[in-house]
Amino acid sequence: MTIHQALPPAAITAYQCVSAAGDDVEALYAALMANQTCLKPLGLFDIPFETLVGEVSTALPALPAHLKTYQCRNAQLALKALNQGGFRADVERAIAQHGSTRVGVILGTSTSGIYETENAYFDLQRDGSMPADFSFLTTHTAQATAEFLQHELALQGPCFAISTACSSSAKALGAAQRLITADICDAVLVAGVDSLCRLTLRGFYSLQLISPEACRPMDAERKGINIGEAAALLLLERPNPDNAGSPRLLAVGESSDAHHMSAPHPQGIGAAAAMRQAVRLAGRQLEDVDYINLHATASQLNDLSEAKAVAGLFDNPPPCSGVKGLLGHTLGAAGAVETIVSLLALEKGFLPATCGLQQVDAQCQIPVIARLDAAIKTKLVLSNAFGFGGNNASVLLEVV
Amino acid sequence: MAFTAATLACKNAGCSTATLPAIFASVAGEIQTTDQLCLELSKADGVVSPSAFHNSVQNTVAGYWSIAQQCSQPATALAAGLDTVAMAMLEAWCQLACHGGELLLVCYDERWPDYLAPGSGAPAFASAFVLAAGVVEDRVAQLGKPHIGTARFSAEWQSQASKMPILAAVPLLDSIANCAEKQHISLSPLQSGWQVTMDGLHQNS
Repeated sequence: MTIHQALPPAAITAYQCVSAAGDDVEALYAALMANQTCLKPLGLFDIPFETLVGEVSTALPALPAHLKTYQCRNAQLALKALNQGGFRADVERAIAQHGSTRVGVILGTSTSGIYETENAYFDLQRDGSMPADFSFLTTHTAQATAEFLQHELALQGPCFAISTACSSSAKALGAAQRLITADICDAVLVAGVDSLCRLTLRGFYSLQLISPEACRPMDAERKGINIGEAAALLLLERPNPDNAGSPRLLAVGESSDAHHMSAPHPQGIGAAAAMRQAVRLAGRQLEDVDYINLHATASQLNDLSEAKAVAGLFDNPPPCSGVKGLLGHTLGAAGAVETIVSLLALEKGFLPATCGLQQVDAQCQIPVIARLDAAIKTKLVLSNAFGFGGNNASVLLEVV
Repeated sequence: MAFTAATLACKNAGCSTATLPAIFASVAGEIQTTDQLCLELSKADGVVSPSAFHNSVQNTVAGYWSIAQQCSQPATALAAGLDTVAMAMLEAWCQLACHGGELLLVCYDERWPDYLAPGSGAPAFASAFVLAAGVVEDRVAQLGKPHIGTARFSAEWQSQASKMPILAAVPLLDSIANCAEKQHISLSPLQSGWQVTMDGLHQNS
């Protein structure tokens, strides 16, 4: 076993995203430029309270007949993202180049296909049995959509899910980088996918965390979060001359708060540890980070904790912003979605705005950007994702 | 159950529970809590409890473990269906290859409600391993890199582990306890063929 001290970077050779902003990454870029919220009233099912959500309201594709055991909204969102632009062709090129056994797939998801499980429980309540076509291991459990992608693309490498609530897909990026570093894989498809369901909406409502209107991250008047859904796909590959111009995943820093199941550490100790670890693993310096894409859910405690973490860690914190006022909190997909937002910022040369922010909370003493800064070149960017259980991840990205 | 296995493994290895990164692997996670929540959601007047909600996430055990042990190291929750044990062992290998040191790997599942997957999801089971990079003193076995090969479970174990995939760890545990010879041990009831090579160091053999 060769142990690597500083982690070698991974090339990000393709990425694609379906979200409330639209069906592909161009629509996401346009929404970031326009900075008008994509949050709307929920259309998918009824809930007994007011809120707005980041719902994908365009048609979702049907799964191929031979894979219909995987049929659920989560897998449909993943398939939709896979079919956008040239993403599927990029994965197929990687398979041809590396061989199907050397291409893995790692999914980050919080609730997988639980929307379909909830629907099946209505049958259970009424009929005393689940519907005949209910398939627990191919829709409900966390790896289901990863297996769907594996079969859809005829991949034969490792296939699993990381499910650590809202840090899931940020941690999936870290696991993918390790698969390449440990020479198990030459390429890994990372998928952050979560879909709207009653459990998360009503669960967060029970915790008194749901905002009735479009959320306002880091704002003095913030009233809580909006839930969203998305499928964000990224193709990671071992760096080689062909992908020399691709952006780099340098490292994913991970930590635990060891504090509380649903509230962050008040001083943001775990969040700071994750950011510090990402920079350390990559062999870089904190002062070289020139933008932070915040987790910034717009919950009272989370935003304050993250602001304290950034303010405590950096002598001169770089510009920061968060996009959940635009897309909602896409939970297990958020790490991958916001990694893509950060990649767009790096590659197109802009700093995303914090949609919904009017007046920065005086207790959040970091430079939070309210308005889009459309002509700023950045090179080294952190993207944060923190979840229940005090589970923290911070993704460090670079353009070459 | 997962805590008991984890605590015992750390005790047997003489490790501090507060300093080990941890991987918690489970097919169905907090399925009993999730089942109760889904039952509530299916009723006209159903009530969602806030604590049941945050205790339904797959990383519930990982979260409580880090809080109980005051461990601020990374904790991961992983799922891979029938390959759960194999992929957990692979992620453990990769973490050790990238970062060195030691880690705690816990593979666990509680019993699944009968109607979710009839004939499957029992018995509840938890096992835990303390794994270290490279070669260390006082090891009970030496494991190689998980890989795809031709080792398969016995027909009887194939049937058991297909119904309750977390039991796929049992043949490895059995070999660590009872075998001294180098052997290839399957980690999955799937035809994917994920396996590990083990050199047993059992004193009595």
